[in-house]
Amino acid sequence: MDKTIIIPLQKDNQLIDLLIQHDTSVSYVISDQESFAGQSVKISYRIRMQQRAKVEFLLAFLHVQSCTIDIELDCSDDYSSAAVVVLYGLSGSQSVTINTVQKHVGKHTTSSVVARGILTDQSQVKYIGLISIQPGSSKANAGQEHATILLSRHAKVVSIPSIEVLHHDVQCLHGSAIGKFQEQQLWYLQSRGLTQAVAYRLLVHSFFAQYVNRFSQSDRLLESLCKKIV
Amino acid sequence: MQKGLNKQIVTQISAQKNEPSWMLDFRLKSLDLFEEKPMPSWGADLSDLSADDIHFYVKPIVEKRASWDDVPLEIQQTFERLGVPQAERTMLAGVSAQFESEVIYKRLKERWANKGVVFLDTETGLKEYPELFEKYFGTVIPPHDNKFAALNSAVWSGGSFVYVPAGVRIDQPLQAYFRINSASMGQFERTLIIAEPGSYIHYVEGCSAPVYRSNSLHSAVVEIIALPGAHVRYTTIQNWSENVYNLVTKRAIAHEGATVEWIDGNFGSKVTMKYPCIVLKGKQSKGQIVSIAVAGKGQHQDSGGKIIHLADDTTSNILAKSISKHGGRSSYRGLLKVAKNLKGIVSRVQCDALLLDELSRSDTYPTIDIAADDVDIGHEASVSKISDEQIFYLMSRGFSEQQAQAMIVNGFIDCFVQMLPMEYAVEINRLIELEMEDSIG
Amino acid sequence: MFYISNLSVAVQDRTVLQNCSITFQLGKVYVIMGPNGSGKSSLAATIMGHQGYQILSGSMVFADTDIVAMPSHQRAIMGIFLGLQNPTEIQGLSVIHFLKELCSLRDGKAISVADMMQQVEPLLQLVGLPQSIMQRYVNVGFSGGEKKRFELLQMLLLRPKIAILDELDSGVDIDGLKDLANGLLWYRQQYPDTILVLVTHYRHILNYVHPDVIHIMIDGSLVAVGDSSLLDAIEKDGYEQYAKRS
Repeated sequence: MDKTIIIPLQKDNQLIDLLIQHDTSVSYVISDQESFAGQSVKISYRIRMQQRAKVEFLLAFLHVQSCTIDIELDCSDDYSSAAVVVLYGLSGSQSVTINTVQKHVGKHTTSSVVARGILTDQSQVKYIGLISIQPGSSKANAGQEHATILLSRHAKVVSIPSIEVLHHDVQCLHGSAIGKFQEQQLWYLQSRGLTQAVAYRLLVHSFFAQYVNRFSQSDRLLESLCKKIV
Repeated sequence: MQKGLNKQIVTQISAQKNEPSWMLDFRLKSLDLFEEKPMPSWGADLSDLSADDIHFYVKPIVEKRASWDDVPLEIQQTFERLGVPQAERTMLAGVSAQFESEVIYKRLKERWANKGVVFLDTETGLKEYPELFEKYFGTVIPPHDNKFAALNSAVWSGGSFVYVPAGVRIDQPLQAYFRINSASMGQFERTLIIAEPGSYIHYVEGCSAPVYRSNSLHSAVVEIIALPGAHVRYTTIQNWSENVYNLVTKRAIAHEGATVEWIDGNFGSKVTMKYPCIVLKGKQSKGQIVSIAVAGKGQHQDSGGKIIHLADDTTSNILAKSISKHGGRSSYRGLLKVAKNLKGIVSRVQCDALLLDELSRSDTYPTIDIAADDVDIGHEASVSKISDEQIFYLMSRGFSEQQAQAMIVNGFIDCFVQMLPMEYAVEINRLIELEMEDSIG
Repeated sequence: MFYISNLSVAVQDRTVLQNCSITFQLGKVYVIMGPNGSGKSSLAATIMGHQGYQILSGSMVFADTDIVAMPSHQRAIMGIFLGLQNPTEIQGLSVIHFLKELCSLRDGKAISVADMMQQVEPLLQLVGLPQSIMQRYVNVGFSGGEKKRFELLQMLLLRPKIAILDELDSGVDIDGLKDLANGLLWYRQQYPDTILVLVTHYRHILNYVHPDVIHIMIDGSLVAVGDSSLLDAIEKDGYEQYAKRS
């Protein structure tokens, strides 16, 4: 990426319109701080991409009491590509609603949305995603993934990933997975001498790590996520 | 425009069938619900079917028989190419209702009677087994469920009533067309299947040959009760002619240790809205839905499946495949819901869609709603065209592009075809070959 | 006879074959060798008419017909066979059904499963595949060796006049190699006029199937041609010695 921009989260509702210029590549890192505890936040991003523009977003939510995030990725020009990673680590009665739209109009466009998080206590997450491939958007490649680990029986997940495709020469995939950490993995780590607490910490770390590490200036974020959960 | 549906007509229907008064009450209450409920705001485009039109479409008493000459030429030709026997053609075309299968039916009736199996049309079932009807009818799909369930509840006619006693396993699939009489293949069939503990039944309805009807609205209801340890498989192959709105509500309740499978093939109709549902009510019950949809020119297949986990240690599987071609639209609509405080839930959903050309459309609309943590839920969906590599591979062996496409599409739906009785499997493969022929413009 | 003259080919605006000319004579074994990316597979794919390859110029004449504009399946019917380097998986298409269709296609009339099995059984033995392969889906979950054996099986069934085998030996162990070579040798015995073209990286298979002519490709061009003595030269000094001096 040409550059990484850290966007501070505002306490009042935000509506941000971004135009990523042709042939540029940029990544954004947005996360909430401890001062956001108890707050309700609503953020909307509309990102339009010109030819051969490349954008990556990393959003992380740990502290807000409730949050609604709307992200609209508009791959209107050819060869544009966008990737969004939304991570959440929620406890208490925190709740996060993530709305994403991946709109493909140009040819040879790529988009991917990954929403991943861990819920404890009575926290909740709702993910609504739409991949929309318009007629004429040949060779579009769109992916969407939602994975949630539940660490409490009172936590709740709603996942509504949708796809609407109006051009045939494309590849669209989406997946949604919900459950606990695999018994098999926990056992494996413990059988090597690690305590259950350490094993959990490792699994939480690995759950988020590969998505965070892609972004520079994000190491503290990974630490905070792990600390929050374990 | 003459309204075809009112209290008088419904009362007439009930009287004609000599029904007990509770059924008449049921019908009348359902009529009220139908009038009250709005048209669904989601799903396929039903704008051509306005509330007034529905009244118009209901021909409640006698179904008029067209003559063979009235049957559209393409349908006549399709029968020819699919090799449908002459006698069946006229039946399928709604021209005559009597043919050899009545003989088969009589023989089978005797065999089943010995085991205590009941397989009748619903009206006769109501007369002969009123206690079963009072206990179960309308309990899986109450009239207020949705507008079209209400309509069906008011004017239902025909359909099957199947009762399998405890421990009885019916090895041969029970086929709907065995018991067809003039009242069936109608607009508002109502089917009720009761499988007592430990029983097994495979029920098959429909056929791959196109079924021509001048009536444009079909709104069926199917209720299945699978009591503990029972196993019910319900297979539908739908190929209604291209003028038909096919709006069906199908639901099963699986009690402890029971298994229910919906095997659903959607090939015809102008619009189909159908989401077979399984409620996993008892511990260790299992639900499986295998659905395929082929949407060609002018068609919208809006189908999928719903599974609701209400008990511990239940497992579910949905496998949905769709093909959209020549401007057709195929939409998968699904629901996977897991209630609070459950344990040991495993579910896998897989939806794959093939788009054959740039005129066609494919949608995937799943909803996953999980309120328990001891779960293992996976959902995957993909949309793409037939891979160039696969086409090249087959063409490099001498198959034409069209032949290659047909082979690949047949392979794509093989998971569904595997679940069918042999003779249907062969027909479906032939049907795909025919459909692929038409799609190469 | 099969003549390729001045063939230049591109894939998505990138030239992969430059002005290639080659003559294939009846009954001979040809080997096309070269480093990765030299264009060997592109040549094979172009001969078979893969839609990803655009012919910029040149001709390919087989049995007095220029096949440059001919769709792949017609080339197959004419007698050209390409054994793929990475045979494609086709989910849901069972081997038994596929082979039945293949035989029916070859004969121009429907063949029964029984008749098809009569032809296929001895070939299964020859290429070293178990009967159980019949219930599996084409190439799905096949090991590297199984995939190549299945390609060979199809070739033996279709009886082509020219068989191009792209890296038949890759992913195959010693025993597999012997089986494949035996299959090829048997076929050549039955049909001595067959043109066999082996596109390969390694020389192992050539210990069993002796080449008549060796072509070397580098960067999309045919840079050298000779007999089996070329093999020793390559083994000693690599392909570099044949690279075009710019």
